[in-house]
Amino acid sequence: MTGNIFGKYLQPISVLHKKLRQKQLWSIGFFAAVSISLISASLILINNFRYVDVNNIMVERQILSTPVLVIGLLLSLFLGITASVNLSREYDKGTLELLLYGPVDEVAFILGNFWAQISLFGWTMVGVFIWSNIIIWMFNLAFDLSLLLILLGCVIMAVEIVAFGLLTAVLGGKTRNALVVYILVLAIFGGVQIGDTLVANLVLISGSTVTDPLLFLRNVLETANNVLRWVSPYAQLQRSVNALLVGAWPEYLLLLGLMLVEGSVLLFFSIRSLAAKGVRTTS
Amino acid sequence: MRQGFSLQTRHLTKMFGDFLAVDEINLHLEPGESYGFLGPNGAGKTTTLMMILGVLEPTRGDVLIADQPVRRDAFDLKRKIGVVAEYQTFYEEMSAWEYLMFFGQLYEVESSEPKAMKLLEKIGLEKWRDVLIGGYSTGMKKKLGFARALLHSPELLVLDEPVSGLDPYGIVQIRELLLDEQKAGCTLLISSHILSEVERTVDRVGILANGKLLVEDSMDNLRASVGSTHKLRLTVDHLTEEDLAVFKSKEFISNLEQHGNQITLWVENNADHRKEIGELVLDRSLIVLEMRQEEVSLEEAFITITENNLAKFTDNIAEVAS
Repeated sequence: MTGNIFGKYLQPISVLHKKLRQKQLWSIGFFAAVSISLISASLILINNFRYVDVNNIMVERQILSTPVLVIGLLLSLFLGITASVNLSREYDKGTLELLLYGPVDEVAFILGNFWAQISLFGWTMVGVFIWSNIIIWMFNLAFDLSLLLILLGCVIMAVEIVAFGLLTAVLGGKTRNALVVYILVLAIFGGVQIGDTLVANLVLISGSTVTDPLLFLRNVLETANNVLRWVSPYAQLQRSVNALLVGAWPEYLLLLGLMLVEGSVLLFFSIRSLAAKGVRTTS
Repeated sequence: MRQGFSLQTRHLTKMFGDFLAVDEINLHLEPGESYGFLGPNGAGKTTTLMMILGVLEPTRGDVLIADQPVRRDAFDLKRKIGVVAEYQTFYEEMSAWEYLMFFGQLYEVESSEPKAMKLLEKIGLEKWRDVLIGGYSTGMKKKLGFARALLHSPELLVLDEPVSGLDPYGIVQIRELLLDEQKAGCTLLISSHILSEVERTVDRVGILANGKLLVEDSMDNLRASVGSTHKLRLTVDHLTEEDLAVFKSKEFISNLEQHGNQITLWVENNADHRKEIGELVLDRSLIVLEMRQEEVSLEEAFITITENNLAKFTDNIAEVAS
């Protein structure tokens, strides 16, 4: 029975994913996102090498971890946006309705969209792995299995971000609304994390007392950041990579598992919300 | 030869909040039958079609296609249904060929390439197969929508306003395609305002108004039910007042209108009265230029039925309001 259901969904998901992946693969946006993320990663890497050169010490166990994380983050954010835009456009233009007349339902549609982004991300991570190995070979570094595990973590982070992009599209309805919701949530997440670091430094510099409003602000941001550490995919990935590099395997696996669960929950809600919303409300 | 799917709706009802859009509709289409689904704007036709296609959940009632309940995930069933919606949507960044190939894969069509080419040739789009759909005219898009709906050789074809937006040449092409489908055994459900087109294609019609199915019958029975008379147009060389008085005196002529030398007679349809009228013309020594018997058109039947219903509906509303 389960096999039948799986087989039934496999075909439409595969056809939808191929169409979307092809469209995305040849888009300027995707090449721009790949180029920007590779340039950013290269700059970070150069900086790391300069640090090693000047100080004659390598602090990080895996010098490629931050560049790879940056590539993973930028690309997954881009694919989250495109997932959101693709889905809301299909809804807006009415092509979703056309698909639902045929062998596609909300489950197949959402999973087809999701799989298109994740498979593209997966292949890009294969490219990043090759790029990393070229760096390792060029600079005579030691190959470490942690690189593969970081890449795996990036893919799982992308699962959560893309699922979130799909949910914003379903809830936002119009393409513009979906994008606004997506960017707003990212801005809140990023703002809290950056704000927490900045205010904490300010508190230290100004030597604040207990009655200082700055201290109150720091406490608020710190609490919010502590909550986000369990919700924000990037914070989770960063923590999982840190755990991995110090050999804390249970924490690494727990965080990856948590990201997968959160991604699945977001996907589930996307499907349920789309089914509840329907493609038409009136004749 | 295809078998065609049967279609049955049982007490199909849809409410949007307090508004009753579709009220207890019971349709029954035999396999291979062509059915015209008619009604004025806002009658609930599209809502009914959406429920039949499983895109809209009914508030009450159910839909059976080939004796199977229609569910959103009934993929095998949906692969045998073709749909041409009133407002069609396309992936405008694709060419017609890519579009058809995509749907060919989705519907698991075997050897979709020759089928797609044949359909494009039939609708005259083969030269534009590699042009992006975004550059197509409304009529070209409409025809491409037909090609998509027919690519998988459906057992049931659901058409919402199939010929709107088409030029006369396009209408003829689509009519031929529909007749081919009909001959191949496909069941057709056609919702349209262009009644002359429906009249040419369907075996039976259902007329919907205010969410209710008012009438469901064959074309002949529908015409007969609308009025007890039919029209006879008679054009004579010279017509006098005396001649008119003689025509008016005949019992089987219930009404008469004169336009110059042409008179329109409403005669009882209990028998063929052309012989009696011929004798009358001879008695009066009139020279007949033309005599033509006209049946009640679907348009007239439609207007009569829906107007009666509208009057009742308005009376009910006035009664409730008072």
